[in-house]
Amino acid sequence: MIVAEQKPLAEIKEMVAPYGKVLLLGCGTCVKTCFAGGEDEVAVLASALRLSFRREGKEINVEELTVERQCEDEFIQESAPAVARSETVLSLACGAGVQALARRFRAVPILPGVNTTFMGVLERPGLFTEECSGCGDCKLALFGGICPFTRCAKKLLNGPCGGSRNGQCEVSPDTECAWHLIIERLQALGQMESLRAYVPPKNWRASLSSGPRKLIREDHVL
Amino acid sequence: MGPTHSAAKGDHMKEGASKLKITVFHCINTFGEGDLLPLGGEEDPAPKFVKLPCSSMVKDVFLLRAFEAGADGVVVLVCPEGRCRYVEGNLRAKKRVRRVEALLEEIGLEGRRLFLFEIASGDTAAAAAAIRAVADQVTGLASLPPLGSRVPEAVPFTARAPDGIWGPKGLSL
Repeated sequence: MIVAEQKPLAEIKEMVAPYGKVLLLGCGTCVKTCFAGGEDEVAVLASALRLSFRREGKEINVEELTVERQCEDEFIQESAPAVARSETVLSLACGAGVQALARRFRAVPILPGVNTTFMGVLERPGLFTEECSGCGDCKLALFGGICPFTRCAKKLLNGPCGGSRNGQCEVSPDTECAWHLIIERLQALGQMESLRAYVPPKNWRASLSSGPRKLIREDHVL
Repeated sequence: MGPTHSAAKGDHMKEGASKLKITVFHCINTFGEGDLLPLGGEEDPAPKFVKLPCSSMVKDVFLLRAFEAGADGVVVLVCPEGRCRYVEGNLRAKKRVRRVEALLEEIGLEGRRLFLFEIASGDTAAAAAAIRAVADQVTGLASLPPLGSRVPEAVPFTARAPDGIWGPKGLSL
């Protein structure tokens, strides 16, 4: 999932302050799962904004709505009537959702309510960890399903740097050494011999380093 | 059930616990009904009680909306640690209350207004004492300015675009 974190209230308040009627639009997919922008978070933020403005003797009209996803027209169009009656939209979707809204609702300012951070997993309740950089050239099969591009601070492809301590990265003691994990995993899989294969330097052309990417499926284009 | 709250326009400073608006969220294991609590004195607060099957059902938004509705103080009563019939409900409630406390600080409401107490099952005297303590704590804190109009209502979860708004080239506003 895409993991995001809601912006501080003060920053959000500054963004919406010029507007009298705000649509607070949540997303029911990734940001709901990481507690940044789902229906519950919309309700909390709307209440917090109203309280915060009311404390200053001001009133802000906040309409609350959550759609399944803000990255697909099928769901974006459900928000159209609410967008039409708002001065601005504070979107709690990831950056993709915010931009999708902005392209479709050209006359209405779309504001980002969350900071989109990474692609990751729910490791355990309350803990989300970054797992994938979206490099476009997946080599997880070589590394026992653990990505050194994302999880190794030095992005090493041919073994550990030797600086880890007790399985933790020397860059940060809060970070597990990816190569420690890879070796443990390959041992468990009985695939340690694969470490003998040389992995050449990564071709980053398939990644964002070459600019924003597109995926076109001709079999779905009419 | 306690009396419902009504906005008191222009009444920014409260005197007397009986005039305070206190909302109490409690699980059914702490006590069954608010009427059972020994809070009948003239100077006692008359809280609004919200009964929950477990204190873990207290959602962040419930606490905030209690303040939006005019509560001067909000109290959450939970079972002591290790005594929750659902094992960890009270632990979740505590974490949620801490989170909302931090949010209230960001919002900038004056003073401490959200409180959580552990109450043994059926200990109505302790519950009443906790509520009186909260009343003492929030007495004198300024109320939120009253709303000029009605509190905006939430839009239902699924809103459907009426026919014709979403044209073939996208919405043009």
